[in-house]
Amino acid sequence: MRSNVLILVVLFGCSLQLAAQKPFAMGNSVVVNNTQPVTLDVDFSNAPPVTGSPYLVETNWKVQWRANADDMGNDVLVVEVTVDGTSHLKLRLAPTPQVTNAKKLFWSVLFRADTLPFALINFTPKPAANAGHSCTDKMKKKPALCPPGPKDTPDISLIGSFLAGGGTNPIYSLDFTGGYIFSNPIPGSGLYPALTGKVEINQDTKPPNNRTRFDPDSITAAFALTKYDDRRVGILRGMRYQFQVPTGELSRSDPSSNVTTAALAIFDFNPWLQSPRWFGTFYPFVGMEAGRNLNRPSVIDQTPVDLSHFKSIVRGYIGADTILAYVDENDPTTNLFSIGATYRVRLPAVDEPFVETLHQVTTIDLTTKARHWVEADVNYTLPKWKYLSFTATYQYGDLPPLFSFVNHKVTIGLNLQAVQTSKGLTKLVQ
Amino acid sequence: MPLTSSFCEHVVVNATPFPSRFEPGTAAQTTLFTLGVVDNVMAAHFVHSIKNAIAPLSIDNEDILSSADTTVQAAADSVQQNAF
Repeated sequence: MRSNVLILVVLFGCSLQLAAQKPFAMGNSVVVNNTQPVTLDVDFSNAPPVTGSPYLVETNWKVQWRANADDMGNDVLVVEVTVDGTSHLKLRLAPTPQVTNAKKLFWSVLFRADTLPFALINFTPKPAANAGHSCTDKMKKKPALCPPGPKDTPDISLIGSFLAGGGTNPIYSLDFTGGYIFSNPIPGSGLYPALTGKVEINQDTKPPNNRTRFDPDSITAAFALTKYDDRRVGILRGMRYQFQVPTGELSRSDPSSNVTTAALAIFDFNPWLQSPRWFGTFYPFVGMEAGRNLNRPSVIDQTPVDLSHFKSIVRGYIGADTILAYVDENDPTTNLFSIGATYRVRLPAVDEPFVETLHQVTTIDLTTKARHWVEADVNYTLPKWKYLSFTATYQYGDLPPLFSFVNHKVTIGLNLQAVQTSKGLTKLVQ
Repeated sequence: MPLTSSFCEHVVVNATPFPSRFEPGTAAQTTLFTLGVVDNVMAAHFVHSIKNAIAPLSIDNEDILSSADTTVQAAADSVQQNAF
């Protein structure tokens, strides 16, 4: 038994020896490296060439590049040939073509030596996968705006409703959300700049209404910076850090305005993906808002108020965004159905106004009471024209600056929306 | 490390939330969605992971195919072709 094992070991060792002694053989592929200077990796198999081998002599190599297949070739010198690892010869070139991406050129690499057969290897750039723009062709870059899929929260969204009836003037209600993230970071910082805004108009106006007005209940606008952290810890996929410098909070219906800065840490958990059609995401965040009240009303809903003590603003800011979606089995970007929910709670550390109207009686308090905001929406997008969707939205709670109370508001209607695709990033927390 | 197809595939798979769900040899059929790149947030982390993995080479965000219906093969090709 022991002798059999010994024979096997000896045979295995001999086979390794024979394999190691297989002569060098040129491969038939070349990889272009966008280094400075440009280098080419020519693959080989078996043993690497030894010192003095013709394959390591620079003058035995002739390299040309062309911008187009039919162009005349441009000669470049091979100034160094080295063995790179166990499967590549690295050819260092000079002069380097003055192009941004050498992989978009056509390359010809010719090896010829008196004592060896010549070898010609051509490199053809891959088809311009990203040329042109299309919302639907996944091999192309997307234009700046595209219709959202069920898994996308729209970056730009305008939801409107119209109410008319006897004894009341029309009431128009609008909800606009907009965010634009620049696609490249500020050089050297890793911070992506963005502009963001949210406008809620006539969200809590009820009939009878004696005058048709467009009075924003809440406008927030901010210049924001976002930084990504890709470290994984357990089910945490990564983090986002968002800095809003500064944020404006304005209301025209009860003239008031705040200016705040905010810092948020967003926890991006791995998605729930148990089947090829259902998925869910959950992104909670914690943060702080701090700032100052700039002006405040003396009368709210015909009720005199004294908000002279309302000056500084310090709030904890906690929330989460979640979505549950059902996608097409063969195309995960094809819309079917989605349910999304947003929760925000602002926790003032110093007293802030809290406006509540119940049974047509308005009360205004200066308190540190938590200000909750809940928004949930169910969405079905038309397969034929995805800019338009049917949506049902539920809202409840209070929004800055005066935290006027929105009491269980349900909106059912059409939604005209688009997603900013050029950013390749995420939407901002608002 | 040369920017070979296999290296780019390795980088792409490891940038997804669930790299262990990838079966070797199925790059042309496996979509990023099945590996957990289900929305813009996951796509953003996917893109940043790739940028970190190929450093000191760089690549523009927009040049990395990161849509949920993109295959691992297409995403790897976009990295190999556009990194510089």
